[in-house]
Amino acid sequence: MRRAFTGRRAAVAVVVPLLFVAACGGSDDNSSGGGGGDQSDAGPYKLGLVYSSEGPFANNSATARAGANYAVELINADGGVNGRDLELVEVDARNDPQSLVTAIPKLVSEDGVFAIIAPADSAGCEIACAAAAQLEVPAISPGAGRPGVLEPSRPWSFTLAQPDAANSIPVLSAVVKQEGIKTAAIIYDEANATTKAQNDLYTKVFEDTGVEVVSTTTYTSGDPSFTSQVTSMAAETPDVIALAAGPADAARIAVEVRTQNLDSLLMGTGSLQSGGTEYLNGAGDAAEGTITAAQFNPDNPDQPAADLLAQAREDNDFDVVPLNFSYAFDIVNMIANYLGDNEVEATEDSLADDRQGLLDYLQGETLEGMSGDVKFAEDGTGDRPQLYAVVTDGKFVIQEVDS
Amino acid sequence: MLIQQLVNGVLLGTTFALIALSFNLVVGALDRLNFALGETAMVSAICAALLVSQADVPFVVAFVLSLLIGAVVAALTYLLSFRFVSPKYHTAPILSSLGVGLVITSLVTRTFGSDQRRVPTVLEDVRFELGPLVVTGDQLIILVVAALLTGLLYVFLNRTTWGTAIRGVSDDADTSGLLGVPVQRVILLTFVLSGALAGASGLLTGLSFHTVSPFTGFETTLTALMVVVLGGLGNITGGVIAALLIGVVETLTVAYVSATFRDLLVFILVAVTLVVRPQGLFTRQSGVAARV
Repeated sequence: MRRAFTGRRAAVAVVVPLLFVAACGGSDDNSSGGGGGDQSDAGPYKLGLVYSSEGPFANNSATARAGANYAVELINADGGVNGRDLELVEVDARNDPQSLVTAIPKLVSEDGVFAIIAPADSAGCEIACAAAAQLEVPAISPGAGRPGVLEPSRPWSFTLAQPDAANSIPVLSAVVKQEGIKTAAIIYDEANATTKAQNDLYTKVFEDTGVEVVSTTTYTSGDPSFTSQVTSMAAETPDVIALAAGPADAARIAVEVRTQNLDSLLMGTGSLQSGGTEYLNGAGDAAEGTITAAQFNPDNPDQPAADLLAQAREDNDFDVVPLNFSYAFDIVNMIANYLGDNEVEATEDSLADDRQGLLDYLQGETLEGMSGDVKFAEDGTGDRPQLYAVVTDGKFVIQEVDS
Repeated sequence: MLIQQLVNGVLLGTTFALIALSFNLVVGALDRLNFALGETAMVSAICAALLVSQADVPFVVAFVLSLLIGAVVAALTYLLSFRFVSPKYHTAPILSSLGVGLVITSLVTRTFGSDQRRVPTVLEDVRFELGPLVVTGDQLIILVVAALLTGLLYVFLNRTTWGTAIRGVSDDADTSGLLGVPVQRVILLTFVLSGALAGASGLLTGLSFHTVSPFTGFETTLTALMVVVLGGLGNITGGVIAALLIGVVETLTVAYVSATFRDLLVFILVAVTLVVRPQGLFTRQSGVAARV
């Protein structure tokens, strides 16, 4: 079943005619598309939203949070789901594992959330999703992309992102060949699981393409100065500098690279594009020419994404809709659509079955939304297109990979 | 590359030296630590960075404003955390100034947001190449301004009446008071000077790192604390030397060992110094450490 889960509640006037496009297999026993019965006396449907205002991926988290809130705002303005409002119960984990571990049981047992929008970063998602899985609560991340991040928490967890390895390795390998790169430097934070995984990813890309890694240097997330690291890399004059970093750190590295007059190509994985605004704002002109893998096209011409993106740009005063914003927006709408289509009551008695129903719904459908088409793979990760982005005139310009 | 890394270390140390000088001034005047100085540096730098990057204010003007903002914030910190606290309660100003620091961070993030702010390059495309050594125009600005401020501070403390008064209060506030020195005004002046130095340090550090973040305040305070402990509490020359030493150690650790070990090695250096020479590498006067 291919399902556009956005239009009924969000961007109603624009998208309604585009809803529920071609079916492509799978059961179709819950495709009424209506608003369901009126359950307005039952109180709001509660969804947990776990984000981090601190840490290397705080900006990704902030945009995801904004996307989820935007979706809820639109849905509630359109009458809610089954006559009930959606309510986000938000928790700031501040990039602290202990906070994540304690926040999830509280969201479930005290706040009674139906499902959880998990942290956008892989490290946070891994912990939060595992805690949610123990309680048999669905958790969906708007960005976690580290390979194996969902393993401890399947089948209860999903991520709308395609893992960096699945998306970035083929894309960056093609880019490396296309650009004729011979030597590379990698900079990563060896104390951060996400950037360590990005280092492994780059190493694999360069091994596969016969590129010599002439310098590998480390930093600590949040380091204010990268002078020493860039001096070390500059001594080897690499063709490309691979940034295994969150957007804020990557921006400071980029500025230092250009300050030291190094003209190496800057390269990032898909996660750099996902935190693109912070990278572009932080690096300014130094970001020009940066190439990243990409799995999300903010100028997607296909419907319903095109209209939803246009409306999000207008409503939120965006130049470019960030990846995590659209992924979080889509997560809320996926859940809302499931609740509405199945007239889910989510009462104490039905909660376990309702949550199981959400898992089946997510696993079985090809869903269309602001971020384009997504179908979840067996491991719960999103299947996304293979694209790359080049920073041109202060924007990520999406391009197709040649081969 | 080693020479270049040593120069990088000295430049990093220069930015530490200014904030350490700022710390030492307060220690000298009051025998107390102002734990809001890192945030004072941060708020000055954020304001100056915004003026430069968004209002196209010339860097020189923004620099002067950073001095003024730092001075005002430090004066407020003095009034809130030190002026009316009884000298009997040694820990009260520490906790109170820590609280002021938290409030400053909170106000900055609520007012300007939590994003880091870019500090634009002042001398673009200016580079001095001496063989393998490269110094950018901005690095030269940092070096010259820091040296100038340190020199001016030295002259002020040693060649002016108010400077002599500060040194007098620093040595013995009671006796200075009996000799007619307006002790409270001198202490306020010391905080103002200290805040101005912190403001300068914040912007110059931002220029060096290309960005300023609202969350670096406490880290700056911690670095300054290590510098003053290593250099000797209240010892201005010791503070400068210790700052340069820590800058070089940090830089070489990142370049030749690993960024993960950077803070660890500095902490070990400070810990060993405290064990072997508890008064720090240098001492300004006997008894200062004991009094603090």
